[in-house]
Amino acid sequence: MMDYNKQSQKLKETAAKLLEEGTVEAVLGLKDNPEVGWPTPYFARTAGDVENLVWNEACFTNLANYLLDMRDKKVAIAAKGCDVRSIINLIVENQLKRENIVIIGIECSGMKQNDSLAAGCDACPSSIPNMYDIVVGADGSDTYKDLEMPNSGENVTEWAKNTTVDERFERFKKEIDKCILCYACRQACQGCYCKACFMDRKATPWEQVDPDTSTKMAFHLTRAMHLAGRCTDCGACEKVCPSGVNLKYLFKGLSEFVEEFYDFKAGVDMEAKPFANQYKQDDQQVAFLGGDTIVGV
Amino acid sequence: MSERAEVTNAVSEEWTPTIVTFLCNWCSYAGADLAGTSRIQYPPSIRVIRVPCSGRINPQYIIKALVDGADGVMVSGCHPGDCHYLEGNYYARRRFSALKRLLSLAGFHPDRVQFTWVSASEGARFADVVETVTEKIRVLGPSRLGGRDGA
Repeated sequence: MMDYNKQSQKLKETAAKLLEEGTVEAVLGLKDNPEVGWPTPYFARTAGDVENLVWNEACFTNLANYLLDMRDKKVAIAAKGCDVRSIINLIVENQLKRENIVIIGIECSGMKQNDSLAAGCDACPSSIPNMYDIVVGADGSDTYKDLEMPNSGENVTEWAKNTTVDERFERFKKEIDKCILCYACRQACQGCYCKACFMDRKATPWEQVDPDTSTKMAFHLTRAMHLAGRCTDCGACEKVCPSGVNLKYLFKGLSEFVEEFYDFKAGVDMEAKPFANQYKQDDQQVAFLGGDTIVGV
Repeated sequence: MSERAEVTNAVSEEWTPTIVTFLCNWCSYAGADLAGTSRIQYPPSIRVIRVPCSGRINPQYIIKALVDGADGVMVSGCHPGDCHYLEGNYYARRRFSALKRLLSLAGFHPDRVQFTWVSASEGARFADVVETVTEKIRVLGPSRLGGRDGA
């Protein structure tokens, strides 16, 4: 099904061609990193660098973030479905220009981390990226095979309907207790590109914020709120967490809500306007006193 | 889902919750003022913070109030279409809807966060709203996040 060797071969050939022709200044991909244990981001700048690029089942890192380092330069990126969703989100938010990016769309049916399916892959809708310039199919050919996806993701809205407030709080508290406030999730997130995060504005260079329960809750809830309708469900936050915090369900639940009530899904349409940047006069008053309530979820 | 799932202890009749209340300067704050000048009685549970517009309220303020131990949060602005800044409350409406869903998912009882519209001429309605909100939060009992790190 998946032939990583052939995909890798095709990726290297394509990257070398783009760099030799001078179409792009760099090719963003992944390079083996024995210290970390899985491939890490790498900019190939010359045709000679291309040999360092790898593509295997551990290439779960979301690379979209790293494009922001090369904002005004022409860059090619080796992108899976989740990377492309993130790139579309960044284009919608005017962080990237479509004409500056060459997307090498690599077909992917789910990556592996520590021998199990990587976070986010279980809910991935398709093996084919939403947007691409160059095709790298599952077997390294020029056509996509449209592979079957695991599709075992949690439906958070359904879960919330079948649980009590207390049970939901317990789950939240359990995850919060594991958090050490290292901000790895924020750094890995495609949506968290603010130059000054609200958490950093509170801290001084010599004293960080206290990692107490209320601060941790405030951080995760506010981050979830900032990502309402912007999360592309790539799972980067969960993959990088050193203490195994899994709060992705909050983001997922919000995405489901935004899709249900405002008909907006992040990372699908390049021309769309962000959900919080627009309004309709007849928006449903779902949360208001006396209006239709969403109590129960 | 049980509506009263969060009630663990019997709450005394005298206990009044502390409700952090954000009022927009142009409608709801004037409405609260009218309730006062008209001598309309309502429970002494709200702590008013005046903001220029309901669109000015950062969701972080509401989250911060809740995690630091407020028993409830109430937000009130101009009715849709009446915003002093024309469209602030339309943006706020989307934001608050998403916020309420998020807080509910994280296990904060939806009744603890209340959004409503009160205009400058609705003094009686303001008193009414405060009464309703206070009662809704009173039956839930004190916040379980009382005080810093008290969870």
